[in-house]
Amino acid sequence: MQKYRANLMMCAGTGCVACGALKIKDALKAELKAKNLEDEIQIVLTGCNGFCSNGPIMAVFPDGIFYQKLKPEDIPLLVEEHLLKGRPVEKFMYQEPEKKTKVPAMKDIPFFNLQVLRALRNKGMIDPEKIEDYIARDGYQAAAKALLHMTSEEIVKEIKDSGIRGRGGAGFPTGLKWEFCSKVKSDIKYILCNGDEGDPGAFMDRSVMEADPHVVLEGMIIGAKAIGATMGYIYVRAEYPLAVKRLQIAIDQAKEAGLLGENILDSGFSLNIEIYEGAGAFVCGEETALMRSIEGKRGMPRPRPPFPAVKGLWDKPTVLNNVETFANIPPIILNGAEWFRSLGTEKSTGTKVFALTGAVNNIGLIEVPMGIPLRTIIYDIGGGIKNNRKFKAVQLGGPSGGCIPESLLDTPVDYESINATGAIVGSGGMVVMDDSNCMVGMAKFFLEFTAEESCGKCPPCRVGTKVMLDMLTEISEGRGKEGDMELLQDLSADIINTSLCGLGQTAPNPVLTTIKYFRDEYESHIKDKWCKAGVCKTLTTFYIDEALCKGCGLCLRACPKGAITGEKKQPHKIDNELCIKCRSCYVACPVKFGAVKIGPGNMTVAAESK
Amino acid sequence: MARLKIEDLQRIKDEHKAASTLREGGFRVKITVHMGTCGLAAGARNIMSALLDEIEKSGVTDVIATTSGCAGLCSREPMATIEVINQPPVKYGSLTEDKIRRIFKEHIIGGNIIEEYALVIGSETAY
Amino acid sequence: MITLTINGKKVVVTEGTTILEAALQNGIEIPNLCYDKRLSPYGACRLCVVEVEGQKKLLAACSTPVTEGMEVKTETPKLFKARQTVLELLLVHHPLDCPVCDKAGECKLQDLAFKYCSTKSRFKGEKKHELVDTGSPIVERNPNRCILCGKCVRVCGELQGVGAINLLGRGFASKISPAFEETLDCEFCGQCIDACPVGALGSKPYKYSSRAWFLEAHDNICPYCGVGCTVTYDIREGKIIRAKGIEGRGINEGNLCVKGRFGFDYIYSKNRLKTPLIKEGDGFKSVSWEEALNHIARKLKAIKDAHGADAIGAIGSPRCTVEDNFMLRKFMKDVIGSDNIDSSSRFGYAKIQRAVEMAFGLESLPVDFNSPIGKEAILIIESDITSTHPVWGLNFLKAQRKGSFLITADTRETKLTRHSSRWLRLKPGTGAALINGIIKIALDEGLYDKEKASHIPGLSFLSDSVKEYTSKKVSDITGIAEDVFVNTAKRFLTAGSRLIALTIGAAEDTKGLNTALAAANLLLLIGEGPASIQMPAEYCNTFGMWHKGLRQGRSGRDIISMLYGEDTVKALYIMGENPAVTFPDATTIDKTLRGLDFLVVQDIMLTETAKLADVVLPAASWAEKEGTFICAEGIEQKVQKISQTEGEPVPDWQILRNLSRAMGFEVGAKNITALQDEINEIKTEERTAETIFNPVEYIPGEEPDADYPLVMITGNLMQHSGALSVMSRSLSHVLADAFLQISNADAEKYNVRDEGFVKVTSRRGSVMVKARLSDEVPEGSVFLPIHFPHAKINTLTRLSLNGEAPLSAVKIEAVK
Repeated sequence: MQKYRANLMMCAGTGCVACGALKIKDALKAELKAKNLEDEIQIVLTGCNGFCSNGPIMAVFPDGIFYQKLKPEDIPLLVEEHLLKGRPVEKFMYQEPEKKTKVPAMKDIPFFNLQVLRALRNKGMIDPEKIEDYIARDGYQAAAKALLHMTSEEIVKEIKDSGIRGRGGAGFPTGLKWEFCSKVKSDIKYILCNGDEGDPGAFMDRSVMEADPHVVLEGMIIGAKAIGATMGYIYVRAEYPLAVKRLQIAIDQAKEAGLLGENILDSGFSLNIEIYEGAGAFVCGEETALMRSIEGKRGMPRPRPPFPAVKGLWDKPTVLNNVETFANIPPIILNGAEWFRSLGTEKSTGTKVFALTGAVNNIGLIEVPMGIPLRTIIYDIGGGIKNNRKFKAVQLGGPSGGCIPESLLDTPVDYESINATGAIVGSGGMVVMDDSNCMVGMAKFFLEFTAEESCGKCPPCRVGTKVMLDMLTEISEGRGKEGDMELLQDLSADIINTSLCGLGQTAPNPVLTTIKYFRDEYESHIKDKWCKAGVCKTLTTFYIDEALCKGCGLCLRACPKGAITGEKKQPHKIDNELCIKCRSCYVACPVKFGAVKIGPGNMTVAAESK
Repeated sequence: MARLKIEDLQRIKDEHKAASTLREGGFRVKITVHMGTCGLAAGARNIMSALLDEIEKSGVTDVIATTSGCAGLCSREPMATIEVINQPPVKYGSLTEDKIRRIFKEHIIGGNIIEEYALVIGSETAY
Repeated sequence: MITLTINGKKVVVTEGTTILEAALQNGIEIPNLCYDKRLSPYGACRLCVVEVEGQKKLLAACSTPVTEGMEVKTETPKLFKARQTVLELLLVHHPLDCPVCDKAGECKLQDLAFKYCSTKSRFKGEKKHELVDTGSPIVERNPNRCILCGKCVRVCGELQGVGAINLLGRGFASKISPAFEETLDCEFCGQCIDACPVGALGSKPYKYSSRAWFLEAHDNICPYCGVGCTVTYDIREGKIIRAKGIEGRGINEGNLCVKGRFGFDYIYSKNRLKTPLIKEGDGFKSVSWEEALNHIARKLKAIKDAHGADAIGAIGSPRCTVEDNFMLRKFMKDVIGSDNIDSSSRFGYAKIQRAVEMAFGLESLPVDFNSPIGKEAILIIESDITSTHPVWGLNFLKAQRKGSFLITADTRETKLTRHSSRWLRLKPGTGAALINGIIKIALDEGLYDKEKASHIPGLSFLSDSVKEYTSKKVSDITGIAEDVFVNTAKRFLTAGSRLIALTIGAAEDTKGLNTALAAANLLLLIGEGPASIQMPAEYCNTFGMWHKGLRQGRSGRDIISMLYGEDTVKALYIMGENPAVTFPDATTIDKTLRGLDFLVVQDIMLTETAKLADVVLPAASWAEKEGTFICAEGIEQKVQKISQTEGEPVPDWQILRNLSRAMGFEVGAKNITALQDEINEIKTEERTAETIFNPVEYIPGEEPDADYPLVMITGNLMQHSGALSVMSRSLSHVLADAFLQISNADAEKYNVRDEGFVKVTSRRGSVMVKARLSDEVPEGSVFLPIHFPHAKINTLTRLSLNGEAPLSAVKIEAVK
């Protein structure tokens, strides 16, 4: 057995691969060969490490040194210095945003050490395409325990006691769902894993499937034993080819090892799992639509009852759980319900994985205990707002969620508290917005999404989202009028009341929360025809406040139309005829000067700049 | 991979113990071979290969070997520091392949320091 | 049973009923647009939302089952507001077509909008501008008016088993359309038109022809097949403008097929006879009724005096009423003094009736249209029931959906075979061999009711007769793989409840008396009674004509001896039948008819047969007279006069009564009721029902050989019925000309081009017809529909004389 003295845990998640991780691997391989170190140092391609904004990422073990934003040309130096001479190279290390200090050890970087890894415990630590790596970290022990030493009732009880709730977004107690299904008599039952992950900006499930495919299988085996299912499907959206590839490898390996298929671990229990690729419809993330899609039919939700636990896929009892939910099942079975409850709150136990994106410095995948305040996530883990602009809101739950303003930043992240704000925990999308984001624009973006993704079956959602989108477009193009907000709120209530499925029932949330917390912005759009964030073009006029302008020329260089004129160190001027309102100057002007100003659409610059 | 029984899981886990200690820590002994430019010139590479060969032959899974920069005493290169948990680190100097093999057997496995090879016991105090 | 309260009123319903059905059953109205009693709950339109105590969300009444002690409110301000918004959203993008939309006045969206919406909409949005699909013959699709309730998609997919249209696209851009947005090409049953609550689906023949409030609805019985559907005809100024099905009405519960819904317009064909005609040279002279009747009277009297009453014969019609046929029989018996009266059912229903008498000793055996539902195993022998009895065919699809094991033994691929649990693709006409094979397996494996079978005479003869029908031999005869045959036979024999269905019609040549007898033998052997065999009468009054109208006399000559024998009759009186087109072996028929001394034809059109007649009398159509039809279920249903007659046509029975008077006989029956009383007085003779085994051999039809290598299958199409439907303009738009259906393999062998002309020749003659390449027929067989007079397919066919299927072998040559 090769005796390595060091493992290079190279992140090969989709994000890092897109940034060139595989080129860096090749460079590493060549360099190690050149220094004939390849027998001593092993390159391990792992799934998503989590710190996506700083990819390509590599963690060197046993030293625990974290390297980021690597380029192929950095490799010779890195191999020479660190791997050969044992001197970690500071240049490629993580740099703390404010204090600009270098933090060599991965465990000292706040982005990592404030997290608690349960669902993501294997991320960055194993090669997802080797079943041995997974087994080496207690893989399939839980399945063995469940199959050989626990009855279905005991499994269901353990899951119920753990208080774990669905990580897909609705937060329905998983134990209860399993209990319903286990009670229904049927020779055929199905266990399904929802890897559709349609929310824009959400990539938690992808990372789990890419980094740790076996945990999904093990979770499904335990679930199948609990409800008495013999057939399972993993519904993965076709836009995740790497996840599909790795899941298929995991299935084949597990089958070969007798950990899947007939008579698993000689326990007499059998479960086959197949992958079903989604065809790019967000609505197929909804339970019954997903099942229609697997049946080869048009993915449209159907009314309930009958609930899927009684009549689901091909009218057989079916349980559907999210990827992250399944990732939590093995540790619960191994370590027990009490261990699981040790984190989170009374009603929202355990941890939640979030995809932290938007205007934060540390963009990436984080797993935090339930109940953690939003402020800790954004400022401590997230490293605060990029180029220290001002925080405006954080969007939770994607198109079904809502925007939470600064005043509620201390809200603990658990199902009840977040629901109280009007947003929902959702599947885990968390988009941070700064003052350069327009709330009306944000609501319009999400309505555009739901109007496009609505399946078209019921009028409240099919037509309702279209009508709301048209109204928001009118407002953002300066044709908003008195009473629009009240009409939006009234229509939203009716849509929520009458829509058939979750998509329609939650589609109005982005509008309702933005009106509730940013009423002033709507009023400025409607009354003053002014989009202060400078996003809604027709409601903006860009000009330079000569008192604040230091003449540094940054905006001049940034302007694509050459609309800005001015001598060095002299106040600059914007020619509004040429200006196409692309905001480049506003973004380029350093926050500390803030000389580029945004006035209302109908403003005449001459009057203002004197 | 053949069909597994429950006991096989534990077997595989043990087989990969070496890799997991590397990745998760929990090692008993850490050997650092000093590979500064002078160390390398003095043959630190062979020391490291010999050391890895010994680890592999012995089958121990709680010993890790790593490199570090120049230890400062160029005249005594190649050098290596042996850190056994809860014991002061011991620096050995002017190492040869045979010497390191003996250190491995007597000190790392056997547990008693070889006085004649040792340069210093305990680490320099760094203010 | 579940008790709940709706709007404070206590209601008791069976378990599993939804709130909406519970309300409808108790006279409580809940608005809905996508609910349909025949379809599974869909929950799309969201109008039927109701408030339920203890539920904070509004629930869709159509898809929420009732629970014990549930308290439901269906009319509250909150519900009114929710429904108002849903309707308002539907109307935002709905075109203001009401002035030009045929649905105005009977549009559910319009009615609901008046009830719920204010005149001003709170929202504005652009209208859709999709292309209106006017490409198909009968159904016109206007997607701009569509509210996407999905009823048309579900009726077509779930109920009719066709699935010609479905939803495309997503969200606001969703649209209902055929695949790849091509022009609609389906069976044109029109069920989607009736199901559509708005004007998105319309009937082209009805387009712009009237407004809903000008129409007067009259129910009548459909003139086509034996199902006896109730059709609601909309009349305007004495003319039928449109036909539709009303939910739950009649045997058919509102379902109609393409013939029933669109085929009524044959009575307005320009070829309708207006006045009596007498042959003059090659043409006809229009004469008065007196002159025509006196002429007939003189001629018939002369022939009777010269050759005796036995030289005169008559042909009744399964399309005419019981009263018409009875009067014809009465005229022949009392006035002419001859019992030579028969009908085209001799080639079809007579075989069924003969089998019923021989096997069960019954006077008649009506079918039960709900018999397929719930049966564990159903066997259909070489019958395309969804074409001959379309609405009854739906029950077989429904049975299969609900779990029955539907076995179809048929050479051709049809809608039934596509939806069957198992399709035995046997060689044409080998049904009897198949059944004998099953009987042998039942006997050998002891899978039969020993106790009952032993009490039925002829059991030993039966077991001897099937001795050599080993599964190997049956497999050779039928072409079905041996293991598949054995497995299917056992599956049928071991099922808890069993049913056999087959149709024997004048147009079908793949079954004969032996097939029916074999089926009866099998059922009796396995302890099933007569209720387990379903052999429906073919046309709207075949049952009524046979059992009450013509009352078959023992002594009279039947059609075979009257028309096909050596010494045929000298004079023939034909009522409502077109032997030149619909009788087998057309060359013989043509020779006989031309050889007659005197031929009278009483019909609504100058048919091919009428052209050969000496006197042609104009008859009133089915919609222009009173009378009675008896459908295949044996149910008497009244036919009313709902349409004005143009010119001088007179109801058939009245013509015959007037003719009797012209011949100096007073046959009574001043009016229809008097005639009906007279008919009802006749008692049917009592028969002691005793069952007997009638062993039958499988006798092959004309075997294909070097000269005539292909087997010809004749039968019916879904869009046509006998020779009557070709007169309908709408049905002709769907399908107007005859075709030869030939497999791609055979087409290649005989280099036949699709849509190219082909000469088809049998031992009795040849015809020219267009070819249609389709693998619905297997290699070695071809299919020809018999409806089309210009093709005279019956030139090729032959009679079946000893119970076998009257198959004919043919050869084909492609015409350059």
